[in-house]
Amino acid sequence: MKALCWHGKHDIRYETVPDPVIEHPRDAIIKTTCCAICGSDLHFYDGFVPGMKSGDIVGHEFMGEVVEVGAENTKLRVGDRVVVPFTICCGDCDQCRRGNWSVCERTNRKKDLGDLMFGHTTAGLFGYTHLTGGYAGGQAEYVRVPYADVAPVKIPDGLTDEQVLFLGDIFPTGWQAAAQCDIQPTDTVAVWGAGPVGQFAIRSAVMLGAEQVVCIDNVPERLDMARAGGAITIDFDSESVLERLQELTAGKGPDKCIDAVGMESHSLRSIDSMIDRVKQSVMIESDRPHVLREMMYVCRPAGVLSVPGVYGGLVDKIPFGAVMNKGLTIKTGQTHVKRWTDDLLQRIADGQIDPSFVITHTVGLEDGPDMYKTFRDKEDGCIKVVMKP
Amino acid sequence: MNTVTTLHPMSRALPSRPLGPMRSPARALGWFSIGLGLAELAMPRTVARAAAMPNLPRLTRAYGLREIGTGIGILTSKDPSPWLWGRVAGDALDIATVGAGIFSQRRPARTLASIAMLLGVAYLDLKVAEGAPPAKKMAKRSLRDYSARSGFPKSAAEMRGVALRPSERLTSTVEPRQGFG
Repeated sequence: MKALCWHGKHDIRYETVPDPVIEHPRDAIIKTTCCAICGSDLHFYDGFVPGMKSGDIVGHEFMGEVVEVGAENTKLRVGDRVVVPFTICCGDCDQCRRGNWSVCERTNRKKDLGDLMFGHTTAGLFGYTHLTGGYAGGQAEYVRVPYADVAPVKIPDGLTDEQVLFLGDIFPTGWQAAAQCDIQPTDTVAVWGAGPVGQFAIRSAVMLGAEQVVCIDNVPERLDMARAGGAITIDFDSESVLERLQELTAGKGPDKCIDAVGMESHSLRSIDSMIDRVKQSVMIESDRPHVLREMMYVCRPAGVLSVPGVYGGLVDKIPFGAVMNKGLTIKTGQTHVKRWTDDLLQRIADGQIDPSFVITHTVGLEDGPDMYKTFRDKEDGCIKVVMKP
Repeated sequence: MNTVTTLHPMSRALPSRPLGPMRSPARALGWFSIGLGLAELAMPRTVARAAAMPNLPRLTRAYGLREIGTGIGILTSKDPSPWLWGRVAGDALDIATVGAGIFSQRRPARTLASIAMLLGVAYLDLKVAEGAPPAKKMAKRSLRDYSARSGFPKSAAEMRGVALRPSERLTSTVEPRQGFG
C-alpha cells in the first residue's frame, strides 16, 4: 500500500510499504477514505519530537471503512464506516474505566520509554513518536487499529466524511479545551492560536455559553475564520495582546485562557520569545512557551488555563508565582477523545455545527509531502488539509 | 506538484499577501547577526584574530552589541528594512576597521582575505536590504476570504450557549439521538 512516511526533519515521503495485518483478535483493518494533517504532526516535521524512526508511517486523524476484523472484535463489522480517535485505549484499565482515555495504562507498547520520559506512561497514539507506542499512522491507504472494539466511532449514513473526520482529534480537542474551563455565562474566554484546534475551541466556547470569546493570532485569514466563529480578534503583530485583553475585560483579564499553540510559539515580538529561540537552537530548552507565560500573566485571578497545545519537554522562565498567587487552575493533557465523541457526533447530526468549515485544502495522499510544507508555512491560506488516499 | 487542490466552496481567492521575496534571507541575516554578536561578546580576541581586526576586546565587544541589536531589530520589527540598511552601514564600519590595520598587520594577505570576505557579506546585505519591501507594502491581507466560515447554521450570537440547552435539532441530516456508537 501507499503511505506517508517520516524520514527526518522536513522529510516526509509518499512510499510503498507493507499492508497491515491483524495482529490481535481485537484489531481491525481500516481502508482509509479520508485523513488529515494535524498541527501536532508539524512538531515531528520540524524535528521537535524525540523518538521518531526513519520510515515511521505518520498521521493520526483518519477515518475509513472496516475491511477486516479480528476474531474477538464484536463491535465492528466489515463495511462499517468509522472515525478512529487518535488516542488508543483498551477500555479495561483503571484509567479507561475512569474515563481518562488518553492516559490508558496498557496501550503504549513501549511503556518503558513513556515511563522514562514522563514519569508514567500515557496512551498509545497513532502515527507519532515511539514514546507513545510507535503505532503506524493513518496517512496511509490502510491502517491497523488496535483495540478496535473500544474507541472507533461508527458513523451513520447521511453524514459526509468531511463532517465527521475531525471527531478523531481536533473537534474533541477544541471541545475539551473549552469544557474543562467550566465556562460561566459572564466569562471572557481568550484563545491563543487560530489554527484548527483554536477554531474549534472558539466555537466550543461559544456553544458552551461564553459571554465573549477573544482569539489571538497574526495570520489574517485565520483571524477571519475566528471572527466568523464569533470571536473578537487580536493581531499580535499590530496590537499589544495584554493591552487589548485588559481593554476588552475592563481591566480584569480573561476569566479563562486556552493555549491552542503549544511548543512552537511563533511570536517574535517579545524578548522571551527571542531567548526561547536561541535556547532551543542550542538544545537547552525543548519548547517555546511564550503563550503559557502570557496566559499566566494576563489571566484573571481564580481563572483557568486550559492547554490543549502540545508540549514535549522542558520549558524555562515560567512565572509560577503568578499562577500560585492568583490561584489559577491549569488543565491540560492529550484529549480523552472517547469521552466526547458520542455527544459531538450527535451535535453534528443535529446540525449544531458542521466541522467541515475548517477544511481549506483537499488533495490526494501523494501530495501530502508538499502539503506538509504548505500547512507549516501557512501558504495559500492553508488552515486544514484533508487527504484522500 | 501535481496537486488537485480543491478549495472549500466558501473560499474566495484574494490577491496574494505581499510578504516580499527577501523575507527569509532577511531572517537568516537576523540570526547570523545575533550569532556573530554573541561570538564577539564571548570571544573578542578569537574573533578579532580570525577577522584580522585590531586586538581591541572592548571595541570587538561593542561591535558584538551592535550586531545583536541589529539582529533583534531585523527579526522583531514589522519593517526590517532600516535594520538591514543598518547592517550595510555596519559592514562599512567593519571594513574600515579591518582596512585600517592593513599596514600594521604582520600578515597583510590575511587582512586582504578578511576584507574580501567582508565585502562579500556587505554585497549580500545590500541585496537583501534592496529587496526588502518597506512596511507599508508588507501590510498583511488575507490570502482567502474565510469570513463566511462559521460552521454554525445560525449566527454565532444565536448559537451562544446552544450546548447548554436540551437537545436542539437544527437540521435533519440523519435520524436523531438513538442508534449511534
